[in-house]
Amino acid sequence: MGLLIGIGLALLVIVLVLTHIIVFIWCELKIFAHIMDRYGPIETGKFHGVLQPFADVLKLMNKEDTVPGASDRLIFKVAPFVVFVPAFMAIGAIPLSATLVVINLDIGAFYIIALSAFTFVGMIMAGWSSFNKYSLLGAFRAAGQLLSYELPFGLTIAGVAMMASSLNLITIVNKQVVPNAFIQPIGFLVFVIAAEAELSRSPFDIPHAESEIIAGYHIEYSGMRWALFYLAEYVSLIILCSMTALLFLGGFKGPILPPPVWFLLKVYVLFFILAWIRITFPRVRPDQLMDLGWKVLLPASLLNIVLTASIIILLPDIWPVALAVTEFTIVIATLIYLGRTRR
Amino acid sequence: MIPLNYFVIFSAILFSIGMYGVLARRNAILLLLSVELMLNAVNVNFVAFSRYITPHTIVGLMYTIFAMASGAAEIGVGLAIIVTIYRGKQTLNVDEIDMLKW
Amino acid sequence: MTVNGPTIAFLILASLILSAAVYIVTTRNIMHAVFVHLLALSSVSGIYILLYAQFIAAMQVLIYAGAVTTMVLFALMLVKPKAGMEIALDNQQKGMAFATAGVFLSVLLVVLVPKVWATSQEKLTPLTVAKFGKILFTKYVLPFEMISVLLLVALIGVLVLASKEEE
Repeated sequence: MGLLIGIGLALLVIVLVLTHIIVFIWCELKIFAHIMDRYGPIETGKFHGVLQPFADVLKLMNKEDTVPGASDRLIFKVAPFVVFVPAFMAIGAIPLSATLVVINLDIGAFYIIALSAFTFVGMIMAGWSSFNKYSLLGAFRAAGQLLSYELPFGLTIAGVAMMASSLNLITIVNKQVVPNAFIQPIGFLVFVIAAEAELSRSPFDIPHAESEIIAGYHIEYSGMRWALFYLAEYVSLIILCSMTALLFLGGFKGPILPPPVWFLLKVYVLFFILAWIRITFPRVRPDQLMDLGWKVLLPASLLNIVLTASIIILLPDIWPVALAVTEFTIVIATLIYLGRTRR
Repeated sequence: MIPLNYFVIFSAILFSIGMYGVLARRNAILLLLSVELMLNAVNVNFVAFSRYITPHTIVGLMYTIFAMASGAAEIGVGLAIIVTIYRGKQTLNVDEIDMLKW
Repeated sequence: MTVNGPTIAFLILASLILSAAVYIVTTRNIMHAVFVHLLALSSVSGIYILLYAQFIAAMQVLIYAGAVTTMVLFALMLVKPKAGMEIALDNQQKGMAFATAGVFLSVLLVVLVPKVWATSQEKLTPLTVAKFGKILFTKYVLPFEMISVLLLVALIGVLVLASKEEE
């Protein structure tokens, strides 16, 4: 009986996530198009091309699943699943409300970071087994980028966990009277930038920069195996938007509307902002990317942890206010300094 | 509940396989991988004993955490040494790395 | 012999890990060895989950999948031998090695199989990570600091070793 309920829940989650992905893909096409002053898909399905994602899925399912003759066939075939399955496993730990969650883990936030570690290996497997120099380059660019951004990403989560004294996502949300983004602006900024880099979307799309290395680690993939990489990318997008909403924006809390609606609203707004960033910023160079990761974001996230810890210990009564004031002062001072020096 | 002996026997077998790997391999990276297998066998033992014999204290789990941290440090330093040796001798074969014998 | 869900799960995981381990120590393809090693070590985290130590399981995945495997793969890419990547992975003392490991294993099994451990009869409950943190930062704070110093030393050592000598 328990097993049946588990399988049912898993199927429900998969269906929900896949529907979201299909809607997201269509929305993204439309957002990109309108930001670039185009129409985007308009023909398929009469109304503004709403059936475009379905047409894409049908096209991908009909495509031949090619495997390069010189490739390492076994690893080549397994790689998409190594990227895709952990991404889907992480979804289960995300709560839609205080009660609506598939697995309420004690270590929820940590579980999600741990699973994201499989992504690098999956990418290297795909890139290496293709036996194509561009895919190998792309794979190692991806692994280097993801490894360097995993550190600030994890450390900002540590900052949030300190304030809630828990890693459970529901507890973290319940302890937020004011959204954490207003208490830890440094942590919030670092988290969003690192999340964008983890997703390797522009401006951080170096691992699959089409103009430099064709398409990175998934050049040789086609059909459904390529679709798995594509889906995994969107699943991670959903996970990172939800994580940002839960950790920094008060998650499912909000007045009047029921909690799941608030949560999904925040996720959609974040999704829109990420799409906006993706289409408006040019790609950074690999050395700029590494500089940003190791010389800016990592020290900033460490500073965030040190500030949080010391203010919680030194001023146990008024720490949220003190922390917010300190962090906002630092952010504004940095912005003023940058504004003066960049002129 | 799974009998404790299952875990102990499992980790004994895993440790022996790792031991065979360390003794029989001559590629330095494969040696490191075999050492990792042995380390994991020991960690499984620590966790199993800690959970079965003293479920309320977590001493064994602490050992596991420290073992993992030093295992990660070991892999990092080991790989750096391997890369450095490779630069000098163009080989990963530990049988050929015998300069201390001279 | 008890047959229930966790035991079956354990047996499946254990056979998966052991066959992966045998593959690692016998394969002639070093890249496959690294990937199968990842499979084995992430299955070990499944064993930790069966022991209700979720935090350790998550750490296992994070450290081995995230750090160790990627490091090994980067190192392999730096040291790719020119020709014959798949030859000469084993040395001549395979037989001796097999005998040693075999004797070691049989001694262990002879001692361990009949042994009855004084286990506590309580049902296992998941450990909360809060309890973990409290003990780690009170009773074990000195070892914890030592580990951080060790990691720092390892970091500096690796930098010194791996950086090219400048004349």
